[in-house]
Amino acid sequence: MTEPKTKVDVPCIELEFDLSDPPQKVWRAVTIPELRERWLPQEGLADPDPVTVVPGQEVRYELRDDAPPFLESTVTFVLIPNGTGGTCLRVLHELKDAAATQIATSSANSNSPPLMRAA
Amino acid sequence: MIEDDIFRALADPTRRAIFEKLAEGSMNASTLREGMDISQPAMSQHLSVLTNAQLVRAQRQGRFVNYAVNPEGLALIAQWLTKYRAYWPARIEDLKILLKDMDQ
Repeated sequence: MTEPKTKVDVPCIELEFDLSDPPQKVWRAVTIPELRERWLPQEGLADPDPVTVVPGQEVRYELRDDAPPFLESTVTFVLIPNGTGGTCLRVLHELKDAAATQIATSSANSNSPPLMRAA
Repeated sequence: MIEDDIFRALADPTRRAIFEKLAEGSMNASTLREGMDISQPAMSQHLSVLTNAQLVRAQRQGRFVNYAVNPEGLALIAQWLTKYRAYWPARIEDLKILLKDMDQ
């Protein structure tokens, strides 16, 4: 019951964090590369530059998983003033369509022999 | 419906913990039990639920059976979700440390 809700059809993770710092400050931490690097290192990202930016409100990055099958996804950070001077930071992490399709295809072929055998 | 099976299988906290361990690498049932307060029959039961939901695949290696995350299909999604559900709270902890260090 207390579990975060996860949609099944479009695999995504939706989380909210309450930060005591104001949105302008959080915005800098999320978008200025040198600052972003200190909490969200480039290795986790497909591209260190954001895909889309709505100044002060919303920024989206692309991610590529570092383990096979290297699923691609996007993460959107949405900053909302929380009413007490702080920030509600919403993290929306979604698998890309291509990745979801890849999985659907491999599901459809699940009678095929395993791709990898233990050595 | 296999999706229902998957999410039912992972609704149990113990099974989720087992799946998270296997997401880091394959291992046999007795290695899996290390650090977990769980009997051998209970572990077998959980592994059988995970295997039936096709989240986990069993492979006999000599005297042992090795368990691993099924490399196909929806198990990948479950593995992805499991990984990043833990990833983001850890990143946000680092963000909080950074915010403390920053000037207003």
